[in-house]
Amino acid sequence: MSNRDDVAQMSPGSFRESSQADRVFFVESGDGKDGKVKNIFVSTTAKGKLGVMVAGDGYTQTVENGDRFVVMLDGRRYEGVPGSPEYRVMEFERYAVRIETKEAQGVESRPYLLTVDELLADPTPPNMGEFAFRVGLPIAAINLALLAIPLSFVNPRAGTGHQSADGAADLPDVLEPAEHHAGLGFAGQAVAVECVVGPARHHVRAACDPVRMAYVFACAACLAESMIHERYIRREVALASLLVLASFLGLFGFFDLINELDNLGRGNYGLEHAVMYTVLTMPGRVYETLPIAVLIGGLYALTTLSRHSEITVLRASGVSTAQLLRLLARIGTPFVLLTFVTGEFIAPPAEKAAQELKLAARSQLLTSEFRSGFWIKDEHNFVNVGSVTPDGKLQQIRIFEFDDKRVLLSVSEAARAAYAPPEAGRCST
Amino acid sequence: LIFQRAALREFAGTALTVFVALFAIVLSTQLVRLLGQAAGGKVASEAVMALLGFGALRYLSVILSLTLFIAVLLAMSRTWRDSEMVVWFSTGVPLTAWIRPVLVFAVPMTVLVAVLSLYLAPWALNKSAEFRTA
Repeated sequence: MSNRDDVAQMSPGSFRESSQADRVFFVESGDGKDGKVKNIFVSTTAKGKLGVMVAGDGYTQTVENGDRFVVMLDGRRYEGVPGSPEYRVMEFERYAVRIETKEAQGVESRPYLLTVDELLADPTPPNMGEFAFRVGLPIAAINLALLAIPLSFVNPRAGTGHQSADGAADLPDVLEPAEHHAGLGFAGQAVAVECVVGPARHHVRAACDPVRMAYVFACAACLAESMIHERYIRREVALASLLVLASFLGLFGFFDLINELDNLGRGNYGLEHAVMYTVLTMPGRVYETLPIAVLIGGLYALTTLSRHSEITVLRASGVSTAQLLRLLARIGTPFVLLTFVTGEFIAPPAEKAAQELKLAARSQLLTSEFRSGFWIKDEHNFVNVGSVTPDGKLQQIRIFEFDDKRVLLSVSEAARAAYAPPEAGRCST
Repeated sequence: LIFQRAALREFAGTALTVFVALFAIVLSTQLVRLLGQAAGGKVASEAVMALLGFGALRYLSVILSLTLFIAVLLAMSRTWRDSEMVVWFSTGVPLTAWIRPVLVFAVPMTVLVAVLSLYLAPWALNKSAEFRTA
């Protein structure tokens, strides 16, 4: 962890703030190996005075006790009180600034980071909402367990056929997809043997599955060679995989949504944005979970087939293990293609749209947020914006103008500003 | 108490399978995500394992609730399908008698979920937030 601190404290091209928010660093380019850095900009505020240091060259140095310094060479220091025209200019050959190894940003306080005692001590609506969520989870757990008792009802006499379409019986049926589809899958092909087995077929199906299937396969073999069993297994595996995928997406979508709920109320970020964001990140989730879903779905479908002795029937009707493997490879290919297409063409644009939606809704216009506000480098100028309101208004702006030799030309301040897209920002003091 | 023992054994077996499956899936996707972030420099590579642990603690409460529901549902729909329920009914055990073993099974899990969601999850979130900013 420690080496990352150092890199993070002085990473080139980005602004860094010290832990007291009184000092902001910017280093344009740096080489990690010999510690040399270029174009250093340091802004300090201490006792109401504003200090700016700029230098073209410098290096980082670590002394014995572990303190790290940025040493600036041949630079200038400007010092003055904001609002007054008097500025002192000092030129220096060597100026060392200590980099604190403390973290740059403290942990932000959000309701979900507080302990229960802290939540109850400060009963604001967000805190109470978080508290209700935490208390709700165990209550939901015990309710779900009790709810499962009536939901588990399955009429054993209904067999695997699905004439029992009453609501209570549906849920366990959904959890047993392969059996469901075993029933449906054969419904079509079983027409050929309907006249033989007779109208009582639906009720005795569970009992005489292997026998009947052997019959069907015999007929199928005569009718369409090996195509029917291939179609059947393909449908079984595909349906089981898609069902597993759907339940994964449900689970992860739920987790993602919980995550996003933490961001509610930042800017205009509302529930509809959180839901939209979760939906747009779904293709990425599909890409992540599709391989596992096909594995589990395939395992499930084949286990069901073998439990119902259907694999044995297949083997008996002359399908070798190698043929079965080739068949599974053929079934897997569309999923490979689907994963590829999702990962290459669907997920990236969707992810991008999701991030844009989030940024737009949270009105985060700029890169890094410090306690001293936003910092932007615009060619030779540095701009500090104290805060940005959700409707795009800027507050407490300070602009440091430099020429190309890093000489400070002016420091402009404004209390408010608006951002006008095509032109430059209009300032009003 | 053969009935209660049989029911509990059934629940525990199913719950274990369901839990292992759900937990493994959540962990592996978390790991994929964290490795992605570590490769992008958003989190330190040394912190990935710790963050994975904190993430697991965070999701454990939801996973356990789901496990509870699915385990009871699967175990009981199996007893229905295998006509075991009919046997219990004919020996004079009504459907309401199932509430007791379900509660015996669910209450310890619920206590665990409560501890996780009230105390451990916020602690884990705090820790992982610290790890991310450090």
